[in-house]
Amino acid sequence: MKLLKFHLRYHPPGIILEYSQKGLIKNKDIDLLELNSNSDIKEIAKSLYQKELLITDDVRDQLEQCLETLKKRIEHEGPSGKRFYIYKTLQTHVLPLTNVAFDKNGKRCLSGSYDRTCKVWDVETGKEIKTLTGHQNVVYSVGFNFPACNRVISGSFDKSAKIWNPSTGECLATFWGHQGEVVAAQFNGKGDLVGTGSMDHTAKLFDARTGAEIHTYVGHTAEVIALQFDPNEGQRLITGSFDGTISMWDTRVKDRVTVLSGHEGEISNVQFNWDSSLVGSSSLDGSAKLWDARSNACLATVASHSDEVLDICFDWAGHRMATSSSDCSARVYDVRADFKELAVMKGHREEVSKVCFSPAGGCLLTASADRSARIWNTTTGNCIQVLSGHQGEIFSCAYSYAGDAIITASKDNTCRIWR
Amino acid sequence: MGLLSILKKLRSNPDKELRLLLLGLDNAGKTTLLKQLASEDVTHVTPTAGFNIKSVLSSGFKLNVWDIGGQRKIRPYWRNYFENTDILIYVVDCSDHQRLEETSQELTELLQDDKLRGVPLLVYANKQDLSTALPSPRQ
Repeated sequence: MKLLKFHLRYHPPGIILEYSQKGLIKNKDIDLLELNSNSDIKEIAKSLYQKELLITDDVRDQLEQCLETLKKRIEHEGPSGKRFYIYKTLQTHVLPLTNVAFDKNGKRCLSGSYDRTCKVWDVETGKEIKTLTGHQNVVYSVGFNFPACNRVISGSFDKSAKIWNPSTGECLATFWGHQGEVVAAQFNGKGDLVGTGSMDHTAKLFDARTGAEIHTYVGHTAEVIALQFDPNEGQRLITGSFDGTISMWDTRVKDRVTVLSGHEGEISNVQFNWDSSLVGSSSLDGSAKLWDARSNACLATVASHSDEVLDICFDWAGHRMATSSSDCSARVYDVRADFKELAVMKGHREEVSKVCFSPAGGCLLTASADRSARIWNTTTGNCIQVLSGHQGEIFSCAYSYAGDAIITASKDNTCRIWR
Repeated sequence: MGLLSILKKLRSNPDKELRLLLLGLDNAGKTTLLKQLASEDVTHVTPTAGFNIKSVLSSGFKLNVWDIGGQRKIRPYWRNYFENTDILIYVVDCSDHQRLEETSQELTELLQDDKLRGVPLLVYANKQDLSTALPSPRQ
């Protein structure tokens, strides 16, 4: 075995050892989830050296440099760092926006709209690269295939989902079969499968290349409004429904694997954490729950919001989760030990409909019906910045992977890029 | 509001909940009518570039009222909102003599859509208080 290269992974922090073994080139991922701006690099390097046979004495300097770079990246994105300014206003949609997404390197973003199109934007120039035209009704859900980002998936109120080539604007496949609006659509990690969730109470699995339906997942008794593949293996799928339950499915079988019940109101969102060990769910019953993704046990219920919980997300390292609510606040909880509330973000004047962490985890981004988006310090709960300028409520928002750009999409028919 | 509440309002309506769709040319008074229904201030109403939704309780029914912008360039998108409509209210500006032909054409087209088949229609002859308004039988 011989070490060839160190690769850095920024979010969540880690290093990847590329090595050769019997003529084959292999990778080994080492998570450094505890790395923060106060970490002692020499200490970490020493313990890695002791644990890892691949790390020999002559590469220790190199290792320390790598760790230093990772640490700087976290500090750079820290709460005291960057301020955002309006960079571009994207004005070519003629009706309200729905959802938005960045590609992996933050160079392009997608916006869905009531005008039945999905647009692909160049973040740097603010120019429209392509308009994806073909849906017969509202384009609700949009996303890239990560990490390649050479395909786009869209879900529409016209009851179909489509795959597009974002460079040419060509529609490559259309997935029919749902009897209701498609409100969630996602590629799996390999990009060969597509999952869809619909108002017709079902979810479906499709072959991304042929467009053929593989399974219809039947079991929910109300609208399926959230869907996610597990970020690791990509063999499990979770769906959240207005019936108040979360279901887990397997891409290899059509029958439901598990139902997570306990919420007493509609599910508003459901997410895996990055290593797929936890599932977080938010509900209009005013609570959020954490589930063990293997034993399916409910690990915690947090109910400090005084109204409907509208969104939930995990930070990249999987240490914390954030929720947002109709009570105008967002909250951050520890998900590793005692599920303690770590911070409360108060200041929005109307409901907070979307929440996401900055990739490094130092900031929280919220989108609200009060026409502003806000950036908060995740440790103190203090508001760092108010992104104002939209003329209508903000429906969705996203952080680029590098943490250096934000997009917000509004009912005012515009999308804004902040840098 | 938010996208989630839009999805909630898209659900096929349970009992005692109705979906009302307000359509008509721009400046017909749809948003004013919506705000009036919701007992809101109507002194400042701006053109609707997308849509507005309000829920009103009336005689034990929850009325989800959708007010859709009427400018020419966004009229082709009216059928985005037809699904599950229980009542269509078509608002006409009675003082806008020049566009009577246009408004009647739009209405005729609307009524040919399959998704609105069987949906009760109320034609709302608005702005009757203006001296230039045509009396309703002339519509």
